[in-house]
Amino acid sequence: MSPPADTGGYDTSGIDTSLPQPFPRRQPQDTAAETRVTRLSHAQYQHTVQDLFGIRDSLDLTFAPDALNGFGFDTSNDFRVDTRLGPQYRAMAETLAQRAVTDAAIFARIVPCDPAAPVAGSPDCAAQFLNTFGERAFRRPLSGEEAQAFRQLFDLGAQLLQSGDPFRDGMQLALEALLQSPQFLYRTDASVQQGPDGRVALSDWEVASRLSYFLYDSMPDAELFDAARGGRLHTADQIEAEARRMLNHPRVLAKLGSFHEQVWQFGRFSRISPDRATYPNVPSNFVARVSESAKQFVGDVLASGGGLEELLTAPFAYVDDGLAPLYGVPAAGQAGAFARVDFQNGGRQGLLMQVGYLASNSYAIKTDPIHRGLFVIRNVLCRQIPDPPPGAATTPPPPTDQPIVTTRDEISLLTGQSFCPTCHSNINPPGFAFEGFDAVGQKRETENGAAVDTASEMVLDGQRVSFSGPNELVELLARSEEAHSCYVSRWIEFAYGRPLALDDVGTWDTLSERSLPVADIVAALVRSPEFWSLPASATGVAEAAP
Amino acid sequence: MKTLTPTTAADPRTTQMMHPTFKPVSRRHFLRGLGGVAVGLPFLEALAPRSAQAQTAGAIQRFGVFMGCNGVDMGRWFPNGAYGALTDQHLLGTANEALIPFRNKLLFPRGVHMAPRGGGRDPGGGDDHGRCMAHKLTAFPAAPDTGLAQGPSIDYVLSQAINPGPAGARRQPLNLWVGRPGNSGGLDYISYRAAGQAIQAVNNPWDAYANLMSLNTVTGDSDEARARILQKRQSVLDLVQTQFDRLKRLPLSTSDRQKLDMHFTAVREVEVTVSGTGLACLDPDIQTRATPYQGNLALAVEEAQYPSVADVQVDMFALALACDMTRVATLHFDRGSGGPTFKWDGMNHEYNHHKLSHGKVRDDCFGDSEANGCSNVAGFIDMIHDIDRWHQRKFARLLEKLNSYVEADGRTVLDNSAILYTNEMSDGKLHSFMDLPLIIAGSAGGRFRQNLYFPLGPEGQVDTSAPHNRLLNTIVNVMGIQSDWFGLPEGMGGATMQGGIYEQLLV
Repeated sequence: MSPPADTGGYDTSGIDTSLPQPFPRRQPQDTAAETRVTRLSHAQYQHTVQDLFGIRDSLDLTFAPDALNGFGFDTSNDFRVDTRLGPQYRAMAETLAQRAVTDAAIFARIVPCDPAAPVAGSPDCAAQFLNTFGERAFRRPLSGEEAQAFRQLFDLGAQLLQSGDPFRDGMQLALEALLQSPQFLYRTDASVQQGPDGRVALSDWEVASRLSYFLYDSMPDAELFDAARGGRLHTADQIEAEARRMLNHPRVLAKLGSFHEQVWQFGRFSRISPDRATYPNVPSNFVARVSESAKQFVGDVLASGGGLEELLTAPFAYVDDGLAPLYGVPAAGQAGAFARVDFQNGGRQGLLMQVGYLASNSYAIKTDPIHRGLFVIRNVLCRQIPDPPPGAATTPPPPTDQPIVTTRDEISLLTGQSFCPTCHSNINPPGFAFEGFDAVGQKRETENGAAVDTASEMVLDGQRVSFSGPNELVELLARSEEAHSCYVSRWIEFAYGRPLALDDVGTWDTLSERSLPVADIVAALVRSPEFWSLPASATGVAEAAP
Repeated sequence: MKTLTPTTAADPRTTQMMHPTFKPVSRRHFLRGLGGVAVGLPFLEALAPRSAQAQTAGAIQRFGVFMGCNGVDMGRWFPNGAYGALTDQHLLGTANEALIPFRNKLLFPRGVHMAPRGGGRDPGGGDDHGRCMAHKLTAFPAAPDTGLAQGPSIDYVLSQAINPGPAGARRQPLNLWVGRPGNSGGLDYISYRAAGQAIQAVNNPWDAYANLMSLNTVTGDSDEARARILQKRQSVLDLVQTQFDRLKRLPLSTSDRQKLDMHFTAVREVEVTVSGTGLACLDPDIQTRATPYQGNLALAVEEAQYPSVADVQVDMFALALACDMTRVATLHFDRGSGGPTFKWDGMNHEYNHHKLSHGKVRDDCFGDSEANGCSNVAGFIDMIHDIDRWHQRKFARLLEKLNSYVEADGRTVLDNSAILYTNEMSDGKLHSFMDLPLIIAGSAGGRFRQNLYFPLGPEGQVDTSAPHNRLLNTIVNVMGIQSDWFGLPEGMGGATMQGGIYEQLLV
């Protein structure tokens, strides 16, 4: 096939028109990108320090931002400390140490004794402080060697800082060292004992950290520390029980919400920028309202024990007075307040029929069925579509005698030429299903005087399926193995902080078998061996030479 | 142009400044830069760079990058007139009109194409914009699945040779940008530490400023106090090192070891000072303008803040280079295929930069189609031209700041720098990587020719004569590093790449 004209003469001979149809699912990697040292994210650092010192205000962390390097979530297990961040960690450690010794409330919270009033027969206050605070900072008891080393530093305090208060001087030094140690800045997995299956089970303390950073984005709470200290965190049942206990904590709801915000790309809402002359119904602060609406929807689904099915098909939305006209409902409640609106049969269902997804995949005046379709293919079904070929974005539609009235007409013409259908026969159909919603997510029956056509067909679970409109499509997606498998695979990646690997297939298959409420997905994940153990390769059997 | 002069002779600090055998002290010197703004600067003559190996004796050379997105109005960007010596006429009526005051410090190379090439002509991943972002400072292709460049960028490479810091862990470049991340492959990044390891630039001016100010971390009012602080830090560091050693006894993967080594190398230098002098460099005006963004990234990425953020970032870029807090800095404007809707400084557009670059004043038309009324409205190229002028006014602001600091050798900081203007693309409508808009401002201490418009290759959409990887290699050599080649190694896919340097650009 010859390339379309006007692509700047780009060489398109490399385009493979024999690509498998439909596009394949993203494949797991051969080996799991496991690590024994997982750096805290900046959000985790903030929460950890707040919990460690009992600080309520939020710290002004000016840490160098992390590049996600293509990993889809902010839970990457591969964050690094470069020459920007290293000194920043030191500066923050010094600031926090200074604050701890001068702020009476913090001092009282973290020092479990009175330095001026030693108790006969007890270890001195310095030892008590180092043991209790050190255990919380490292999220496990200090070893004998560590305790000794930190005590030696503590004892140098008076001479090095000379403030006149030897206890505070020693405390300040010790804090600076604790907060710069890798055992604080990283979640470290030190276990080396192999079990009968070859895997290396993490210690109870390490499991506690894994759980708390997964669900709280912070250090373990008192209950988790207790369970670790009491040796009650090493069977799958014990771990699941702790996770379920944690699930109702507000921090966990925020984390589960964050997963969905990333999977459903709520970040795209910031591109919403409709032409207000064409759409006078659009409220002020449109992006903020749409974001809040979507978050509340997800929160409702999670709180009711829902999962992917509800996210795709639940017939309600959270609407405020600004969004009400777009949803075609009367403004209910007070200005600024969101209320749940339930839709009748045949009305809107799920996130894909809400304003956020629809408007963020539209232009200022027209809809963007290509990106609406791409979202379904890539994010709901985890199919792998290659980048557009060179010059694709600058290729004009071919000349035609046919009338071009609707967006569907236009896109079909544009992407119907030359080799474009290779990809667009996969991309477009799910996008066209939503043409009954305009560029700001309002319902429409016609476009430019012509009836809107939302019927199409696609391959799903290996079968060709057809749908007359969006309701049928989202129901099909919600019942499909592909969508569930995709959703679960994203959970695995989010929980483990790394791309899906072949090692995960067992857990992946188990979770994909049926539609599970999110709580059950979380429980299944923390039960999985990949969560509480390392692979046999982590025992240091000599690696193949590079 | 102002020289570094003390405000009052009675001030003991300034007396020290005037002394020929100046003894470095960690005090702040407040001086007047251009415009009367009080700026504290180190007395640069006394600087002894931590490692002088890559710098010629005398002045410190700096390298900077200023990068736009979506290409330019090719008809009104380049100098208007014959190749050769520049005149004011060359720049009048072009996007670079604002640079006329610095004309005699500018070099416009012409006819350069990106290499490895875009448009599918050389192997690699990414769409058109993705390639242009990934290849531009690295001269490496992008990986197909991630869109991330497969090699380090020139700013990072240079920083590891010439920036202050211990060998193996020199300070990274100051990487700044204006815009909001989208986390889609390589479109957010222009700088890379290594293959697949992008560097996220800083878009919150407060964060950037706070970190610059904290670079001088040796404080204290007396030598004795400072010595104690250093001793304290060393003691803490000794224990931290022990903790690293404990971890490294575990059976760690190679990747884990690299992670830990990189971290410890970044912190093992106790004395973090500005080129060994421990001087602080302040600008209260920048601090005031950065303060609204403190703890408020959401504000910093609002479109309405774009021009304010741009100005603070530009000023900070100049301050950091002038004060030798870094010798390498980059500033890029938004992301590949990004760009705000420009509604300031005389512009009141309805559609965002990317849409305009495709000639779509109506953003929902595809290609050049006349169907359905989707013709290009005549005004779009003028809007692009206005956007280009806006960016070049920011570039002029940067050059003005850099040029306002005079160094001990009589040259200005601009003279001792090479500041590269570049753009994602040339013709944004065509997604072209050929006939790139480029400027080298400053002579890097007398190395680059100046006041010159010079053809390295023919103009237009050709990719056969002057690859940009050779230009990057030229810069590397000018900055004191002997190098035969920059970017993807020869024979590995960049068919038009070349080794060596463009001698024609050098004095």
